[in-house]
Amino acid sequence: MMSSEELAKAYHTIVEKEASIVASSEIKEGEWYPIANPRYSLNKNDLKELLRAKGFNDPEKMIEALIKQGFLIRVPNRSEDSDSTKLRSLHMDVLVRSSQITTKYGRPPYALSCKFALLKSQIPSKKDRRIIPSETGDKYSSNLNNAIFSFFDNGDLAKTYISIIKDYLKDSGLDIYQSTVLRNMLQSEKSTHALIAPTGAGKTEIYLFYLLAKLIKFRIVEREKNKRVLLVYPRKTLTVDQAYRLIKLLRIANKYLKPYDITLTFAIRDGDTLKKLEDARGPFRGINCPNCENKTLIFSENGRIACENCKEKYEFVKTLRSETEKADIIATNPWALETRLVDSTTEDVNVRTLSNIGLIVFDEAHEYRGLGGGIISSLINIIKEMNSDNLDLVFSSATIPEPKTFISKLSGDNNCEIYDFDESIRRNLVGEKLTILSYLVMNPQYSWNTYCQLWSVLMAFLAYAYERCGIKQPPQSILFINNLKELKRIHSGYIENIRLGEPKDHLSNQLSSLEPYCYWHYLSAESREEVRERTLNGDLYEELEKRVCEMHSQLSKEERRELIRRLREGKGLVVLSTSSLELGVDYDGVSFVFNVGLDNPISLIQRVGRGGRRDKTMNTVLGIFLIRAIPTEMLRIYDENFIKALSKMSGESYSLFVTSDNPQIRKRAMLIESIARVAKKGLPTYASKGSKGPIKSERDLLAFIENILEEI
Amino acid sequence: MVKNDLQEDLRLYLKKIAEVIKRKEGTEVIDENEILDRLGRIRDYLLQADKVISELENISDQNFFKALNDKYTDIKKHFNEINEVDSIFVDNINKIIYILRELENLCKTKEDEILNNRKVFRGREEDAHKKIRKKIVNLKKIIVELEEESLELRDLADKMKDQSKGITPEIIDLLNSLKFGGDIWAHELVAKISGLRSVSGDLYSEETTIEGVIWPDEEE
Repeated sequence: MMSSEELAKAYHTIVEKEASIVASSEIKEGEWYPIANPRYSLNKNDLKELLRAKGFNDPEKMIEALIKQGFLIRVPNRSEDSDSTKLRSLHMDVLVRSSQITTKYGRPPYALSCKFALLKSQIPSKKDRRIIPSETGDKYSSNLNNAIFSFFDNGDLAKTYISIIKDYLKDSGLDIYQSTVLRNMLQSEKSTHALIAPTGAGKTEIYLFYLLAKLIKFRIVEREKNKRVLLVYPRKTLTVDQAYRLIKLLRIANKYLKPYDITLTFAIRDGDTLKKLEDARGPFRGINCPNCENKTLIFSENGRIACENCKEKYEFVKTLRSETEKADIIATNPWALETRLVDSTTEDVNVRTLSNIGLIVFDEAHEYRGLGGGIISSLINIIKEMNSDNLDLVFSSATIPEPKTFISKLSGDNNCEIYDFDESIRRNLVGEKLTILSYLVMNPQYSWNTYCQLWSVLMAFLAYAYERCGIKQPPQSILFINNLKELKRIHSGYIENIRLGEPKDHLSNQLSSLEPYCYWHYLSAESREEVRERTLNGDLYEELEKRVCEMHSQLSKEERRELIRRLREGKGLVVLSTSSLELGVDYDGVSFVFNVGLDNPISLIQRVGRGGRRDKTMNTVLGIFLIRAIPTEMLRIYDENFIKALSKMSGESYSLFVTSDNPQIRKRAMLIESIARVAKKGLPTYASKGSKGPIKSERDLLAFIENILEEI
Repeated sequence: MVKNDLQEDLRLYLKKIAEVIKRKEGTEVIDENEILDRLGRIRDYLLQADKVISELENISDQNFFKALNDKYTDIKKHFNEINEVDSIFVDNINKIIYILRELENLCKTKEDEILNNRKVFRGREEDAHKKIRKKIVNLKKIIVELEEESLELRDLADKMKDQSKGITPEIIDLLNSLKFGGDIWAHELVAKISGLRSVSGDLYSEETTIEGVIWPDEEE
């Protein structure tokens, strides 16, 4: 039986071959090529030969499987033809059609030019994830096993910890990167660690297992009842995404830790954390139940959460602000962290809670650059000073150029350990990810916003057509745009387009499917006529309307949760998003990422990194960058370093700064530190109702300022 | 700036806020709205004066009207230059007060002249002089009101400047809001004092003080 890794590799081989036909030249990875031949096709027999020559077993079956899953598309000349030996890969087909989008058949395309590049990278696959700590396994398994035993210095506890990992990973395991890094972290004498590895490399599992080990050690070995772990995420969506994994891990861990009479608890402390018990109703942040994985968790009695489907109770998740202070693991964001640090209340996470921290994890650490980085760096320093014992710091990111310099500055620790995803790791991995990158330069005479509307029509129709063909999880797309007004214009323009019957002209049976203007080939032969009729009658409006959604800060929490749920379920969506979906969140079925404009390379890498995850996408993503006809964007394509770095998805041409020496930042840090000291004395700091906030009279303000002055 | 300088800077700033609060205790709070109200009233009086002066154009002699109108145009010019409470504000008010006094003198001289000549004219001319005098008396009343409002305004501006010496307008806003029943959270105070605030996770700077940089080779 062929594995999903093999199938993905066969698909990548086909795309590479196809790319050389589209470019009309041999292709080298990480270099840009023009689309020279947009009316191409691949012959099925040639593909079989190609796969056979590359050593794949049973190419016939592979091609059929790829056709069945919609990754290879038949491109017949006439719409009546149901069978054709002419094929194209889904990703290259979308690329070519995207490059030629126009308002009317025969008119010049919106894009003046289009170039593309291929980039293959090694990422861990199911096959790579097989390492389980054990005495008798291979060197990775036994090394990790030994590291765990020496970390706990208690055989029973080490065995319990290993059981938790095994149970969490179920039939899977750790890959080389994960096991090596976890082993090194457990053995390391250093207190600052940075995991720098591409998206999908499994950094989250590493720090989750590490924090679990630390917490177990605090509670059972060191008998430290109050030491806690802090998780800092820059975005709420990311916090919620990671909370699912943490709840899943703690559910298992608490089961195994029962004999030790401890229960590890978890809380999210941000602006959405409940103030009153009366508010505890409905779903809990849209997080799915880790037990049945079927339904979202809901609030049950006393603010506790449970699954409405399997009735599993999650008593260890603390949901009220008054309980968060007692949680062993607290997930928060930098701004909530700063406020908590200056709070003297006893009914919430406060300065004393933060004076008992054993480990802080900062996910997506590249986000803490510039002034924000300066503030985080100062908060770290303050927390370090508040904590008398050693404080461990873990940073995680996919995109930090010169990580040593950046992490040293952020953490204030020059002796930090960087765990790179280096060549020695890559060459031992079976899994492979293919990234197809493309940049389109807009014709200044046309509207780039209209182009985005038409691209949304293409992607929404593609998803609709795939669903009609019986493909359960049709490909999904994310269109990133930083400007909310323009995002809304794209959406309203899209609605207007489909109201006018789009993509009716693209379904004309006069067109050959090799014409980039044609979209009917996405449908099965028997449904083409019917869909054409429906489109002409305007009956497709509702089907297409629901597929394009907005994602930005103006949506309510419920709307955002609902959208993320639909995206996760693979409903064939085209999401128009601001930076909300940019970071670290896993959406399995995203195959196409479109970015309006050229942002900084770190952001572009993160955005393209949202696609091509797991088998549902054949580990392939097409990332399109739209270069608008404005000088700041047009001129960047002549910046050789930038464009070269882009083709390699490398942030090396870009520097991340931590503005920790800025006088304003330093003054703010001094102020925060002084207020934190006032809070530690138990005096009112007016950061929350529990610390007598807000200040209501000049007398209180005067007393507060005088208290701060004493601490400076 | 080295750490100690920054620390000292912060300490001084907080001390200043404390001083302002102490100084304000028991004294009247200066509300910017009060200034705006007074400016509005001056504007109304100027409109009334406008009307009286245009009526005088038809009944009084041209020399008097011209002198009157020149002074009045000057007042309006200075008034229009007032936008906000800044250093120019007090200058302009001072100039307005000075011209108002000149205008008052001018009216007084004309009134005296009419009073002295009241037995000389009879009939239509006497009526005309009576009318002019009536207008001048009206104008004088308006001028007195204008002068009073301007003096109040100058006092307010002086007090305001004195109170806020060395403190950013944001802090003054906060203090004023407290006086009028508002409240302040710790994070707001931190943002106002440090000049850095967070909007949806992005930092914005509220302070735009630029200090000159001394290059190493320029140092003495």
